[in-house]
Amino acid sequence: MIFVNSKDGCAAYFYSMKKLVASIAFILSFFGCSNKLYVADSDFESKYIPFIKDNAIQRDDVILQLGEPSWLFENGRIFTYRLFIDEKGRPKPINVGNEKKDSTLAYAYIYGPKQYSLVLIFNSNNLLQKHSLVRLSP
Amino acid sequence: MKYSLMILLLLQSCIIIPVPPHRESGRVFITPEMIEFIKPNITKREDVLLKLGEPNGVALHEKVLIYQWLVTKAFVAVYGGGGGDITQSNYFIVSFNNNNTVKKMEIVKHEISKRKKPMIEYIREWNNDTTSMACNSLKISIAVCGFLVDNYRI
Repeated sequence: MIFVNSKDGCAAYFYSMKKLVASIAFILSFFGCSNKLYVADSDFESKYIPFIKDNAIQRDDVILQLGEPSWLFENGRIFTYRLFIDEKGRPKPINVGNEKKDSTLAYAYIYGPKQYSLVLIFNSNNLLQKHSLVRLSP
Repeated sequence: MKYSLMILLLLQSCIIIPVPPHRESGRVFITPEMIEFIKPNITKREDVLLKLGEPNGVALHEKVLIYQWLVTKAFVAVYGGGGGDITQSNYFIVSFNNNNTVKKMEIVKHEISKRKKPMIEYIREWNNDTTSMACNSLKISIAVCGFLVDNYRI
């Protein structure tokens, strides 16, 4: 770039800076496009947790299969599990260590990659009424 | 003089590059569109959990659920290599009535756990906000009624 005089030089400099900033902003704007609700893949359940079926599994059998839930709500009517897939392709519940005994405030910070939240709602007969699987982290 | 020189050197050796808010790690964001389905006094706790998954925190005997995620807002580049992200905690806080329906909710875009004011205090105040407002209006109503009774023999 040849600057004819200082005034033109300044203008050219600011023009090139403006272009540079615009280019950076354009590239960075792609980072902001990944925020969406991550519902787990449709085949995840049949592949990893085929025993989770509405109106077909009891609360005790869920505990036998997956262990202690990470959270319990409404006197055990609602279970949540945080799952990840281990290197052998098995679903592993994560012990979130949330100090569940503290009913004032229990907290679990850590979210590693590829974690899923399995939410199970049971009816009064302890039968699984409905459930969902949400991907917490990609 | 010594300190100002050091600050000047520090300022010269790093650059902060603002970036569009995005997720680097941790939980996916909860956006206003994702919580559009929640209607106070109608939507139940189970519906919130089924749609959003398990929360990060549970407070006040299951009355409040707290979802937290980290937003990367800028990048710090240090001269000579190195640097890192500048992140900010965001929260979705939702509280419930005794019949398990949603009482109130809010996306909070600042840190709620501070050294001087722990998270539980923030949550307590946030949850009691409407109650205290209702109490205040009740107090005002009583005061106005008292004034009218005293002065106008109603």
